[in-house]
Amino acid sequence: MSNKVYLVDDEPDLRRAIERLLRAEGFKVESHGSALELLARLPAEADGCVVMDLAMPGLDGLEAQERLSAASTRWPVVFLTGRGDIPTSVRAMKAGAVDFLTKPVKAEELIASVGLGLARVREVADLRARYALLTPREREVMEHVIAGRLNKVIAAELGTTEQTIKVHRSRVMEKLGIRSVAALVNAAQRLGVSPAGGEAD
Amino acid sequence: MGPVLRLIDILWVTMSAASVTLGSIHAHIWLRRRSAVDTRANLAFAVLAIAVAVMGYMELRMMRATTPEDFQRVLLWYHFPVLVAMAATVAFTHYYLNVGRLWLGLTSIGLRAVALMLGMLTGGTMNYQRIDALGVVELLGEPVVVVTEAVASPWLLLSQPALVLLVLFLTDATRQLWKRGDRTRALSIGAGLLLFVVVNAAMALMSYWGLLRLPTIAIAFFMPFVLIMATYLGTDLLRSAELRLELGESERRLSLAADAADAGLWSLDALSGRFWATPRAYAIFDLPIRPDIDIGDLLAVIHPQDRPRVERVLQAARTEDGVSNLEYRIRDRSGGIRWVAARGSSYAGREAGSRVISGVVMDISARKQAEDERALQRKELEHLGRVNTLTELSGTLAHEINQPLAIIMSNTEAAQRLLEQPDPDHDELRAILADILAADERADAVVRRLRSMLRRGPVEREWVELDATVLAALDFMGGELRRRGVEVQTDLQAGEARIWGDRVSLDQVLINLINNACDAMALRSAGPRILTLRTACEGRTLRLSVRDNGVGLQAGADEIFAPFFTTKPAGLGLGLAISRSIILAHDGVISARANAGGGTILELELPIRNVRGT
Repeated sequence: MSNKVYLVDDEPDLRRAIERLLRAEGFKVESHGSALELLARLPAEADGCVVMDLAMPGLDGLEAQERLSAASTRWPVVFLTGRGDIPTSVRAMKAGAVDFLTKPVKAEELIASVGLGLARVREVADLRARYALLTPREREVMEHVIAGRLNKVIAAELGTTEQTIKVHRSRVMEKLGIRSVAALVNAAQRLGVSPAGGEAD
Repeated sequence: MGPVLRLIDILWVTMSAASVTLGSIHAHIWLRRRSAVDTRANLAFAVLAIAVAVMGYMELRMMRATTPEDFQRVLLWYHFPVLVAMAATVAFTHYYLNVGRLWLGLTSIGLRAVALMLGMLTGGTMNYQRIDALGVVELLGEPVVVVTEAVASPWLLLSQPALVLLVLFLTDATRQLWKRGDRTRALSIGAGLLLFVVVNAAMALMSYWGLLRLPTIAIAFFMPFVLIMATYLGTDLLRSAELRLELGESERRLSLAADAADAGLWSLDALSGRFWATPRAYAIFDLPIRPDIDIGDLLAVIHPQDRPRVERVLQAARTEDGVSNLEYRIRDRSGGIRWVAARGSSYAGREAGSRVISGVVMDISARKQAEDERALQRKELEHLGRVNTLTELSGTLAHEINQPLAIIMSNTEAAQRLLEQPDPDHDELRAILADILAADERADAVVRRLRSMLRRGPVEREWVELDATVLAALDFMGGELRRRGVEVQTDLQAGEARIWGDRVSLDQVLINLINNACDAMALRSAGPRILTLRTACEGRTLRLSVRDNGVGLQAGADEIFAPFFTTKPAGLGLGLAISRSIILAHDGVISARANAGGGTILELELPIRNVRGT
């Protein structure tokens, strides 16, 4: 189970303090003095939670978050900030931040947020493991379903019967542990699976 | 000679009486005023006039002599008043006219005295060894006694060089008077005296050689000059009386002017401590108008803190001439404090050895109050400027306080968690505590700094090292500079050069200049933002420049120092105006000019002080 935290803050004293706190709480911490340093060292697959100062010289927190979103998998980001103004926090949350914490941050809040971020990482990892169990045909059907097509349309597209598609579809849902199409769309997004042939027309 | 009063008797007695009268007047003046002014001329004149009167009496006795012995006896004593008259003439010329070579006069008198003594010692007079017979000649239609047969004294020839020397002395004096431009006196006194001496000498010689039979009538020649001298001395008396009137008038004018200016006049006798003042001055000093007021009463009303200062000045005025200006406080009888300005001068008094300190005193409480109010307003404005600067920097300041708090909190919570572990890492705990302490000190420094900048209180002047102040301001602005991506370059060469100033105000100026530079560079879209601070010593001047590579001056180099001038949307436009007023209060100069490579240079010049200024 992943318990890794990537900590980014330009102030060494504060970085050291938070690192100590997270270590004491049992997290594995990797610290960086700047966002650029972090981006250079981050693995391709998200394997931990990023805890990042918002205001930093060079690349600031929000810019770094954008770059992280461009990666193949979503990194959960917990922002720390000296002054929490609403427009900035809204922007950060819209971009998918786990939380937006104001310094001085309470240990419980920070740990809870990091826990939340790591849970997301675990969920994605779990989903990915389930997704690996799908057959190529089931993945194909899934791509069509998330594109919003009806079974009949998918059957015609894949040259099979509507009944077969129904079976494939229920298997996908079963294997991924998902009950609704909406949840499937969401899971596909987190897995980085894109709909087949664009949106339904 | 019979009971009828004759012309000769009347003339000679009248001249003697006139001389005695004039002489008495000046003897009286000399006696009464000799301690106050130089009255040696009056004394010389009195002696001359009285000597002439005695001469007149003796001449009359000789003209009425009955026997040669009688004549010779009077003649013997006659030479004493003549000698005294000569000495008085020399003295008068010297002391009153301030001309003549004293040694010439003294030599002449000495020679004459020697001739007189020798004449007496050889049993005769200076004129005759022996008188054999007397005769009668006519003078003014009346018979008078003269010597007809006598053996002349050789000493008379010795008395003649004395007369020559006196002639030389008087000629020289007349020449000096003439050259000085005092023509009237030169002619009337100098030439007159000269003529008298020449005529007398000629007469004496002619009698000696028997060419002329005339009685000795020196008084007739002396008298006009006594009168001339009396006239001059009288004119002087008249003039002094006029002066006294003029003085009174000018004193009244002065009082009027002083009253109009609401000033009091005062005068102090430095030795006796006697104090005199106009009613206004008494009112300003809040002293009762009594004749027994002295320096002690005056010092008693002066504020204890100012008293030593006033005493020092008075002490100095006791020994040397000079003018001094003082401002000090008076504690009036109702316990109120009043500021007065006194201007005084000290000079030698009329009486020998005395000193007078006199001057003007004014109540300047209103002016002082206005000054205080102005200073207070300036301090208020400076305070407003600081509050404004802090408001502009509030984000950075919040960060500066927040950051240490965050460090303390996270460290503390980490430590709490570590302590819950079965075998806590003591080294780590020690490191945590050290970090907490450091963060606490950092927060404390920021808070203290804030408190000093928000303080409103009296100006506290102290020694300020410019370089240290620059470093402290950069430290304070560190967060802001980092946040704005400004690169700071410093070249601090002022070393330990110090100024005597208000640290908080100077700090305010620096922060203001750095903040302005940051704003100017923020308006610049691209490229590195470089702030350069330089200090240097040039002679007795400290120079500081703050250079940025921002958008440059947005207005005239002087205009930017005007109050309410601003290019910032939310600016009050007071920063540079206040900075300038602070620098002026430190006897410095602030100026702005364009940076050759784009941007602006703000430059300060401050005087280096070794001693405390005020």
